[in-house]
Amino acid sequence: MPNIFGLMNIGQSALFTQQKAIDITGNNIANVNTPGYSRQRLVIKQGSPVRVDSLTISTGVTSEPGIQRFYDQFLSAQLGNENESLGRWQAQKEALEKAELMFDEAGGMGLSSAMSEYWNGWQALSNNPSGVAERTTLISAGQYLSSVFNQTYNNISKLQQDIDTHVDGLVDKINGLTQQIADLNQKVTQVETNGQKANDFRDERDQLVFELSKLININSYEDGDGNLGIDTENGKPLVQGTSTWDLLTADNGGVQDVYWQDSSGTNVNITSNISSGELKGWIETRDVHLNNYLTQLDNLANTLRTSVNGAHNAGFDLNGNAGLDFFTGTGAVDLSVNAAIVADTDLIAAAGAGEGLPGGNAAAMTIANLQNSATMPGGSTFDEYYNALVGTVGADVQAADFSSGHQESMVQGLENYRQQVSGVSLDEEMVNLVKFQHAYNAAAKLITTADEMLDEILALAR
Amino acid sequence: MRVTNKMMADNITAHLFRQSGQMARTQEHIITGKRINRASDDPAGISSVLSYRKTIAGLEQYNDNITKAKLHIDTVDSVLGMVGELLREAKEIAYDTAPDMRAEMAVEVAALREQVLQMANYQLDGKYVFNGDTTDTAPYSAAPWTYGLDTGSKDVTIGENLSVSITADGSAIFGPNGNNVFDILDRLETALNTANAPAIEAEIAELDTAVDRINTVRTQNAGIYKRLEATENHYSYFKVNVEEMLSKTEDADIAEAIIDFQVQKTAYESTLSTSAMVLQKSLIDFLR
Repeated sequence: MPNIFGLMNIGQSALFTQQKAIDITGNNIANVNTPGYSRQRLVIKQGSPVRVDSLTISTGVTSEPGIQRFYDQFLSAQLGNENESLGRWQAQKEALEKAELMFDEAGGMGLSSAMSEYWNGWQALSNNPSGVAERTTLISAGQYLSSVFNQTYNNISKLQQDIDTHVDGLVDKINGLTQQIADLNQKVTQVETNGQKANDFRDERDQLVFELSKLININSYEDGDGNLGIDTENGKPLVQGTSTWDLLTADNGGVQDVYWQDSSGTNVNITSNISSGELKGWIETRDVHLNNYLTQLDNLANTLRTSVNGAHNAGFDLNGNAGLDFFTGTGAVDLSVNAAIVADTDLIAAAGAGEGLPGGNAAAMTIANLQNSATMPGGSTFDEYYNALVGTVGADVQAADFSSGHQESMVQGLENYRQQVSGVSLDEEMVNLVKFQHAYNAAAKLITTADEMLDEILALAR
Repeated sequence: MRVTNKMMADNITAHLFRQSGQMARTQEHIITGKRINRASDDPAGISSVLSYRKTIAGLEQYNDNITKAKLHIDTVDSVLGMVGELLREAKEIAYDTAPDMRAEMAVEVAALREQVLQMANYQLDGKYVFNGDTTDTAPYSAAPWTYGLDTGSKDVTIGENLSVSITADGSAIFGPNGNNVFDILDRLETALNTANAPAIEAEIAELDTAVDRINTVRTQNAGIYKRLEATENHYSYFKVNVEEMLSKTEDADIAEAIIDFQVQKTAYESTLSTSAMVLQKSLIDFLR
């Protein structure tokens, strides 16, 4: 037989449960803009009825101890993967765009025009082999060409050093993130041993893993206790339970390489194993793309130097002596016009063998013609070789730009899916709020009704 | 499909960034007037642009070379023209039409020889034009008027691996040592002074040969001059063509860019206005 106090209990359980539901709704609303927040919901269920004799007595409403968290494991993993590529291409794009600026060709101030000026200088000299003005102009053109070579090379080397600094910073950031993840592992397991759900810690931990995935390629897996383990390439663990393994950087042949420190303190070089993330983007740009540009600049400078010197040695200067080396140096970085020639313009060898002085110009014409000779390996002229290099730089930037754009849309698309599942909709929360508020009001009304009923009963006894 | 607030906000910002990025790019085209502002704008295009620029710089230098070569030939031609005139005057004298004036004629021939010597030692821009590559030394001195320094020619580059040679060898122009124009005029002077009629007349043929030699060089030079002019003309057309190709490759079509910009601006503005509407309203506004 139902009693009035039972009614009071039902009302009380309803008040508590609806209030808790409003509480969670409020939390959802409060976290509408929190990155990585997954919306939560109170799992409400009917109270277990009490059966006495042939009667069933309802006990109202109750809720599960664990609060439901809307979360898609698969989407998170995929998002992590795409985020790794996004990091890689964004880093590469940023670095290559800087390198592109070093080849100031679109503005017409780069190596291409410096070379044209230099070859034209030789032609002008061949028109007037004894002209002091022509000789001085040629030397300035040679010095300008050398300085553009030096500068371009140095700028790209400098960029490689900047990338080293970036790599150092990234490794610090990775170590910080893995430490935080290990700390959160501890918190999650502590909370969840009591049968509760550590939704907030999990959200925070997932967000950190998402950030980490942008920096380096990782695999993550959860064990039965709620610990999240994280490995990087080749199964090298970064986080296991509450332990972490640090990454560190050290100089290796002039560049900062990335090392993984095992439990015994031994450093393992994992630079070439890093396959994605910003770390990969920076390292690949530094070690592959920029090195390639430097090598090609060196090739160009070396071939230019040796072929000009060869022709210049075969010529004769105004004093009738065989030409000295016009250029000195060992590559693009230290190419310069021979100081002796700079000091004495008479030492420019314009005349060819057997020609009279000072009007002989065969050597000058031979050198000027080098511009159009297929001197470079692969049978291209200096200009063609350099133009191809500029084209390569442009294509590299374009590829990185295209890939990072593509990855951005991928990540955004997946983020949208994640938001569909986990995101907070204010409209939905408002509907819930109204719904729970009405239920709360009705429960209060129930208690008032029970109270009035009690009053009636007590009045009878008066 | 659940549409959440963050989704809407993220999508709106992503689209606005994309659209403003496009507008910035189009605007760059309009401001710079160039379609290629960095190598990555068109990696294949930038290679062509550099190659066109190199060609234009090369053509400018070739034209400069040609102008200088033409000046040289012009100068040489007028000098040799004058030498021809002087030699013809000497030939008139060699016909020996007024035997009683031989002594005066001898003086005139000596004067002619000095004039020819001056012409043979002509300097253009401070450089002797008839002494091969030894442009700093006079090819002929006073008697015995021996030319012995240099047989080089004046070579000028007029194109990729193309050059012309202008004769600068004095002995090829004024005759071999021992029988050059000065020797002939000297012999004529002596013959006039000694009233040796057969010797005087003998120099007529020699003078003819000397004039022929000079005319041959002038004809050769004229041929080179024509070639230079033809090349120059060709280059002026060629340069215009290359410049046109360069412009087509690197310059932006401003009209097209402005239309693009208008289209992008309209899209951007509609995104802004619809976003404002979508973001402002929620159920809260209606729960009063």
